[in-house]
Amino acid sequence: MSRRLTGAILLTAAVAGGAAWIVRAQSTPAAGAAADEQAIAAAMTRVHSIEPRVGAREDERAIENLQRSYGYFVDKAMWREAADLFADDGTLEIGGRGVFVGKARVLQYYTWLAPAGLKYGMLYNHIQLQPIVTVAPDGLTARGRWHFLAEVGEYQKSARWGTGSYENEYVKQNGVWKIKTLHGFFRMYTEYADGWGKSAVPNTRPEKALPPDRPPTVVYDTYPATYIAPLHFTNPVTGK
Amino acid sequence: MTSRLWRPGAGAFVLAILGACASSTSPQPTPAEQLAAITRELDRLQGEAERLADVSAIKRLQRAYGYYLEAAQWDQMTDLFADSGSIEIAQDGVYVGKEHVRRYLNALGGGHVGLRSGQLSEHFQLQPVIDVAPDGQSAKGRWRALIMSGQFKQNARWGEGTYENEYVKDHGIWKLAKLHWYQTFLVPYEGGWAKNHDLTGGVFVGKKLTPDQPPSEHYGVWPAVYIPPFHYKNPAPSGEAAQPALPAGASGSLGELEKAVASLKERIERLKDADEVENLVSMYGYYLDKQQWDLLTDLFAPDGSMEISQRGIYKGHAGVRRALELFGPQNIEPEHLHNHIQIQPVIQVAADGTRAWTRSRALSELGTYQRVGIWGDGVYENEYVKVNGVWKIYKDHVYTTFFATYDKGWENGAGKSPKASPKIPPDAPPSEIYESFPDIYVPPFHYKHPVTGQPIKWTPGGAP
Repeated sequence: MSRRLTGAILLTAAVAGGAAWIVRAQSTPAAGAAADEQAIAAAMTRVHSIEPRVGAREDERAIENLQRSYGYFVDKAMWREAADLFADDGTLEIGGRGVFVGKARVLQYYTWLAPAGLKYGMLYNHIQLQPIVTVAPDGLTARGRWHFLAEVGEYQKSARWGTGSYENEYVKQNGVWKIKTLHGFFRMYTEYADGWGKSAVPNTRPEKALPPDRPPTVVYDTYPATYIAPLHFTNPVTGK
Repeated sequence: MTSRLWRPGAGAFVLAILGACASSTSPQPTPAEQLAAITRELDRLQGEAERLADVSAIKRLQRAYGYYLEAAQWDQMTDLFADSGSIEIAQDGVYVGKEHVRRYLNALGGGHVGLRSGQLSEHFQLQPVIDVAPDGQSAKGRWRALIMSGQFKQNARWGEGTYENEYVKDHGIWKLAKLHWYQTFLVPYEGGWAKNHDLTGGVFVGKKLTPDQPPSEHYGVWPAVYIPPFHYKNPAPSGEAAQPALPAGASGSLGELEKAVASLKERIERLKDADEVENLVSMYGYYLDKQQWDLLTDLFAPDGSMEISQRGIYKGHAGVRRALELFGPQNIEPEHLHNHIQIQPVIQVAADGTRAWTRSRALSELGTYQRVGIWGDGVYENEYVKVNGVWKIYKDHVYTTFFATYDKGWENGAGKSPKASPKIPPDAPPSEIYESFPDIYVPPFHYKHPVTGQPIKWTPGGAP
């Protein structure tokens, strides 16, 4: 049974149990021990009704730490550490290069991007911001929306600003949250010297040198086009 | 016994209780008395769990606001407001009520829903300090936005400013009661804040669409400097007595219940700790922005330390306060920018709740009008300690990734990490020797890999 559903059922049971306890407590002292047992059971049910709410925040914190760690690893091209954040069957899709399936392919993708550990003069900052994490009612999967800001380049060769977002899926296996689907959407990349008023770098496309396991799930153009990755969450007030 | 009682400073309290237990002959509480105590504790924990959920919901609300704003979804944004909610952007005045909010936002968008072709409208929502009222029905939040806006082949702008917002819980749903954005700057990309004053004067549509109320505060935008008032004071001991520990040691089902409640309490307290540490990281940044040195120093533990880049270590309140003079006088002066946007915190709290650690980063926008602009990026590996129930900075250690002049960027403008000052010398040399960009250095991670649980390793990719 789902954890959240269990919580709801237990809450109902707790109210019922509590009522039973009050009734019993008003009866004869001889019924005391049995009444205590009832009350203990009711209180335990209350514990279980509060627990899912606490668990949801723990999950949210764990996923934030996971994705923020991902950012710190990408910063320094720590590809092994980054790939180890994925579930074994996890997938990666960044920009327009297609979908890479499984940890080995994820690692291959990263290593193709930049030498592991970076080299002197390389900047690869991928700043992870503005999380909206939605944990599924069963507490076993989650989605996360993130914003990223990229500062990339090579000393005396190039420099770019970039922005975009992630719409990721996470999975909890043996109590550990992992990346199930990493999907980074580029919004805008520009040459530092010019800025986004003058320069726009086109989206990437599948590379012959690095064929993906699956084609891109969505083909889109980056800025100056206005494509924005769909939001996994609904309006927090209206639910629309 | 809960960890909360074992915090530094509470030892006397604990001893007093133990002493009272030893000297008095009060009888063991009956099971009924124990149950009553547990029920009271559960009432309290239920409230605390609710507050934890409130903080999460408020962050979601504000971040959703940012995601809708970058897609010019005015109706979605309007729906985040309470019926009587209000919006105040920079010097445009106050627009009150949901329909006026809608009209205002549509006016901001020039009557166009969705982005125009070639438009960019990134509004990153960052650095929250969230405080929920004890009754859980209202809350306040300080945030900041980093803005990248523009129109392809026409213009590009950097922007930055602070929110002081109010939220209200309406039938269980958090809504924006008051959104108030204080603009620091909105400047052309070319030349940035070093060469340009604010383009707008803080006025967007206020002259075309009459506000319901004039601006609640009149202030100047860049290169003028203004410190938006804070909704909070520095965290201080609450004055409330520590939660007494529940009676323990019962056997059977009562013992099981005691254990379950104690475990729930521990988990709730660790989550509260993480929220409080995140607030603290944000507060640190806001004070650093405006060079509010006394307030910033107060966030440190008395035996705390500060280590910035390669400047060496400054110890204790006196040392930290001395070090801060390295960055300018107390209270920022006009035409100066000292933004240190605090982002990306990985937070770990010790199981006993007495210590915490973060890896986080600052994106720095620095400079002096008509003289110089600087971009900086650094990574913090910090440690915190709970003193009298309040989280304080024990070790503040930032590693510079790069400093680059605005004009040249990191392609051509890399600056070295600043070294120890002869004028205001540190108490101890740097704990690690490294050089910033174009060199590569990875600050050691305080935490284990989130999935493998192994130490996090970095293998250098190569030297010049």
